[in-house]
Amino acid sequence: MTLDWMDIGGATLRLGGPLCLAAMAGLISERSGVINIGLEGKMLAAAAGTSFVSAMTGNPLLGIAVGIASAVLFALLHAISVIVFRIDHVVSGMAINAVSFGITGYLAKLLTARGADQDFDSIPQPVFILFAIAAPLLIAWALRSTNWGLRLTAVGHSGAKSREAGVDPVKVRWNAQLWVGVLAGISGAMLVSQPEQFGVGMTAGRGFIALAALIFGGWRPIPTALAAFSFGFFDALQLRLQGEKVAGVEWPSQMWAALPYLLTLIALAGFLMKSRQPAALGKE
Amino acid sequence: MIRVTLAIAAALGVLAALLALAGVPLRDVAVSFVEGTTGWIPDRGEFVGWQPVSEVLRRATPLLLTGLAVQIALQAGSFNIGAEGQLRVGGLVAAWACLSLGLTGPLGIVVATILGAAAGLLWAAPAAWIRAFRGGHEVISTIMLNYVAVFATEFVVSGPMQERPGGEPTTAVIPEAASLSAITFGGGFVLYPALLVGIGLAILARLWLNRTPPGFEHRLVGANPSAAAYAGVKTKWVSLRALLLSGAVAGVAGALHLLGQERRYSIGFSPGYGFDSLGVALLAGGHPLGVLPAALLFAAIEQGAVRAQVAIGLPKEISFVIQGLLLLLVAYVRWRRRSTL
Repeated sequence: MTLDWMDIGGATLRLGGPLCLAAMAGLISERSGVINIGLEGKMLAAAAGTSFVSAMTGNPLLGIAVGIASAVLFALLHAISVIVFRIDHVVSGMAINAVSFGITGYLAKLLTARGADQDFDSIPQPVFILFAIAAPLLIAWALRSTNWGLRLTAVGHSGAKSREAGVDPVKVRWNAQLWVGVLAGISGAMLVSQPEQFGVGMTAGRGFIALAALIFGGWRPIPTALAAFSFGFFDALQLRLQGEKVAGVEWPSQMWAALPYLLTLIALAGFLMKSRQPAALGKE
Repeated sequence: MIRVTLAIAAALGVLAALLALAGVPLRDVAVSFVEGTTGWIPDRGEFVGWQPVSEVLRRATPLLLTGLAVQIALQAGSFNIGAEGQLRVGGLVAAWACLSLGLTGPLGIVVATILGAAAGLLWAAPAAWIRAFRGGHEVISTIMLNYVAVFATEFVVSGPMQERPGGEPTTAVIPEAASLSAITFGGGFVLYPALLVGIGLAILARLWLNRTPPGFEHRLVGANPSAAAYAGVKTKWVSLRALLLSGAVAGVAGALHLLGQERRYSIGFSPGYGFDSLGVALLAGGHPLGVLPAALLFAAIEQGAVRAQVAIGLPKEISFVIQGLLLLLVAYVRWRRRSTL
């Protein structure tokens, strides 16, 4: 059996890109101390917004803008829930996923029922890929070298102590959620730019794989990005290995699909590295 | 109670506003929800039979059991997002017990259910251990285990346990003698025995939590882990036990869903009961018996949405929006915590 490695490399970038961008959104949220399991819902909202508006107006840039705005709206809802109403971060994330799945599915079905044309012409993939590669590098730099990054990390360690040092944790967390929305939005826009049409529930757990990459990468940007692209690589490989024999055995496709989740479990158990979870995560 | 009712009303209000903005005739939506869940047709003042009510009870059964599972963990301060995976392995193992071990009759049903519980418990075990002894958040580990369960069971039913090679990814149907059949009463009222098992388990959970020393420790760890540790409670073991118990109950939910409703394990075994169960558990508040009205409400929403889709073409995805809003608004009034900032 021969594999076309150029082809797999390209697919890795296309499949890993949305994971990487979503993982960066999760990273900014969690480094500020806010658990984010609503990435899935934000990606879905962005994918739907991008697709619907691009198809309606024929302008993919306007579509992407609306897609990002939809994700930002859900990110702000998360901020209201956990910062203003102080509810459990996990509950808010689950609720956001449900509401987003419902609204996007509702709209998609209505558009289908009205016979609306839902295909659109996306902006070129490489633009998104460049973004997905640049984002972790920029974030890594910003976390180390800017006031924004240092404040984010400080608040993630302890909001109360940051406040004593003159940093307002509430402001920092609101700001972080805004970035979460933008990054998750670009991730969703990238995801829908490949089929160039929205499908109900099309994120299919990618928001959770992004979360897995974040934990696997120990909440650090570059390792997280590498984990996200590795998961993208497994996905690309799995698509091409279906029905093929490796080392004389035909491996079930489900094994490849389950691999990121299994690896994350092992990482969570602390067998691979020391956990570097932000100390205030979900606690304030 | 009053605040929860207000939150439910607020969620419905927000939804009504959204629907009105989208130009949906609200009256028609309300009428289809009433028809679809009660069998009462308001326009004609006529009762069409017990079928809609039975359908709500059928949908509520797995929600009640998984909701109870999530609530048991919640009482000890753990989030079991893994009920979906535990339900699936519980169902698959029960199917395996009926098909491969040839279990039948009441004893067979009991054994298959116990095996399903054991499967759910084992599926929760990695998360329980990671939470108690390795410091990893149980929310993440249970989400990961959900996906592993989805793929692992899909592999089993499209390979080793597939009904016909090359056919649909499903197990064979379990024999009539092995299933926990629904009881049909006059007027078309159908009762699912699993619902009664769920209510029984909820009562047992209530008694265990409120009347026994381990139950007290369980709630103490949930209310204040550091106070519990100071009082000499082995908090790690209690949280380990909480997630294991929760997994076992979700496994029972899966086994009973298989024996009583699905009768075979296919990829579509659960349309997401495990995910809805978090909402059910939170809506139920601190009382195990609260999961009964909460499960009924969630089931009625889903059933009403299905009816509205058929009757007036309102996409049934609207049910997720209602459930999500409910979850948020109930959390806003009930599950806020004290400020530490």
